[in-house]
Amino acid sequence: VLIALLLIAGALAVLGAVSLYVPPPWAGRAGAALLLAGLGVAVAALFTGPAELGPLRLDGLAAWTAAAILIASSPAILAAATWSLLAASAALLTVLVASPLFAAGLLVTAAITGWQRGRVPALALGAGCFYAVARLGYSGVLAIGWGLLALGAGLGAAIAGGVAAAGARRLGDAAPAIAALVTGLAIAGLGVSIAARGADLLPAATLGLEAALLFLLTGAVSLAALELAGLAIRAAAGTGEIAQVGRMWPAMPATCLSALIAAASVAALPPFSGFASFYLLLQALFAANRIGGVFVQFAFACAAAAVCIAAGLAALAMLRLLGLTLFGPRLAGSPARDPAGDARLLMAVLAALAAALGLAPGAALLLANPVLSEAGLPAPAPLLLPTFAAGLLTAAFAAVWGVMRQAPQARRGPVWDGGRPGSAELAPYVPGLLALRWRPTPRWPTLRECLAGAVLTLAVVLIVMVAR
Amino acid sequence: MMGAIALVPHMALMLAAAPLLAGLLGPGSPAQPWRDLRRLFRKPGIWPEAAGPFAAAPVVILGATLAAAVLVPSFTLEMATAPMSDLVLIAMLFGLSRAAVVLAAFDAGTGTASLASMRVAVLGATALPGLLVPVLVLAAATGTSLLDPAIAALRESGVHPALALAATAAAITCVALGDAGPEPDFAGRDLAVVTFAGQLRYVTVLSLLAALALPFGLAQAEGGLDTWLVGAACWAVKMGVLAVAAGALRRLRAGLRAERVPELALLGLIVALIAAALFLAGQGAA
Repeated sequence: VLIALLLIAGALAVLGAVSLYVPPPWAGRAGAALLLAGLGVAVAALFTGPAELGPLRLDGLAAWTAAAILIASSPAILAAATWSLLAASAALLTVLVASPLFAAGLLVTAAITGWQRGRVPALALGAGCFYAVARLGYSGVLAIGWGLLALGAGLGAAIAGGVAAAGARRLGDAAPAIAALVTGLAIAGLGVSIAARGADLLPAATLGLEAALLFLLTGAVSLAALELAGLAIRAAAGTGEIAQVGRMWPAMPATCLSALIAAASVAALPPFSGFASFYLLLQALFAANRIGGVFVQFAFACAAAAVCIAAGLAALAMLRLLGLTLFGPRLAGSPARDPAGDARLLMAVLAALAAALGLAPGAALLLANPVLSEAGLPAPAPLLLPTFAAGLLTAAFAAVWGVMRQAPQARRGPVWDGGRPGSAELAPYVPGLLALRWRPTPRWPTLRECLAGAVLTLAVVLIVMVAR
Repeated sequence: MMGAIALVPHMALMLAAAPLLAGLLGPGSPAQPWRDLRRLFRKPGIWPEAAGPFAAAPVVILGATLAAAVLVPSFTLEMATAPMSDLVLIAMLFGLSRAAVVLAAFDAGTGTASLASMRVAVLGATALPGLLVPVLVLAAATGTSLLDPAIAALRESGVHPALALAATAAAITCVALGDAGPEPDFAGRDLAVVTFAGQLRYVTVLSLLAALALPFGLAQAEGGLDTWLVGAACWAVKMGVLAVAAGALRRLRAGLRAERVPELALLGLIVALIAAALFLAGQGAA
């Protein structure tokens, strides 16, 4: 059965490669169909039973990762949004019944659908690394060392991604930077979890793994929503230069609302979904402060500071991006409108998903229970704080709104800026950021770089496995 | 039950203290902020002609601050919100309030406000580690980042020198952050709401510092009215002492050039890391 499934996955890969030469309107549909076929393979694999695939355990973890990638990929986004929506929904359903070959089949097909843009191979590589680190870390090889290595590498990637996102000059530059930021934080969570498990601090290990999974899921949803909104804004404004795009809110309210929810999630603001992941990661670091000697413990304190720096950079990047594109002054003169039905529906679904993950992340984390038991970790306490925060904020907003309604109604009028009437037609500007000499230029890696990375990861995994 | 009832006098105290403290620390009569708020609230707000969700900003700014104020104990512990009064949540609620200020400034469409708001956003991003590393030290010392258990643990163990240093780091970071964001062209009732939010934020931060740095005199929610009154009196004294100290620090902050403020936030982070090292070294020696 295993060989048959691998053959099917291979055939799908060939079909996907052929689909590269299909004209654009059909490419997305072919890609989405392949995704659905991949899901079929995965579901079939489920019924083969995981027991005969012993070495491919941690399947739930891989399934989470693959689903996150699938949602983030959104193939041929504006052209075949309905198909993408179908594929994404099917993926989410399949996560409920994670299976060993799910990840393999899905990663192949997901990679193919996004091949043209070059972003999905990068995400697949990130997920592959994530999976490899998890496999090695939880197998007990170099546990604390692996954990610290993953923590450092993840935080480095997150901070570099944050700096790049906060300094991006084009809308297209922001997406890879945000992907690096979110994936980096997820890998950092995984690192804390592995190190804590190595030191037998099981509650901290559970918190870290939960944080990592939630970062992947919420990050993928938010990233996909931001990508969609970015593409729609770029298409409407005719340019991707942030300095040239602005004040899109009145013309594209649906797109902008979706972007606002997704950006607030990335910025870890309550009650949005990123807050729960950020909270869990910090709690994992707080609980892991007894690992190793004083120097290792101090490294964890520095890691907490680095997590906060990354979160601060994420918030800064999102505020700058939203402030300039949604509200800032507008230069490009072309009329803008929300995209047509399919794409708008997909945006609405992603925004609703991001909002739902923020309101009840504890429910989403129930899906992680198989992963936790695979990794030999105890079941977590229910996560209610974000839900409570959402309820408290809703009550507070309602109270303030009720009081404000007692005052005279507001009216609209011209604003004054430095002694003269303000205008939305001001000269463009991109506010200066931190005076850094080092400013990474974000881009998606090329296919060759992805393949090199994949080979390197595979080699490391094989060497460590053979050494065991 | 008593925990839920205690929320009513707690919020009444916090809401009343916000403009009162501003009046006591500012020039003129202590009642002047109340009068200003009432006068402004009776005037209609004015929204910029091209603004989008600008109207929602005052609701978010005050709502998030109000939510933080509910979570921070004033005169009593064991309030109904105690199981959820986590320091990370409180810090991020302030962050939400600040983010709404920044976006409202962009939405107003004026270059000056947008640039000022971006400066505030950069400062907020710089200050976040300086606020949360002291929380890490506290969590390491008390085993939790929830306020009530942390305060109970501090009362038992006494204040560790590293915790005092961590509190200093948090105070430096708060001074760097300042107590007011940019003024994104609010007017009338909107300006009243945003001004009140600033005053409430100030009281909430001082109350938080009072609960953690001076954890004595706090009543228990089940203790009854007499212990509540004692707790309220102690809270008033602590707030007075801290307000005087904070007033002096504000004057120092006012003399600082805008370019130097992020350096102050960085100093807060460095002091926080030193506090963490000091605490961990102490643990290692023990």
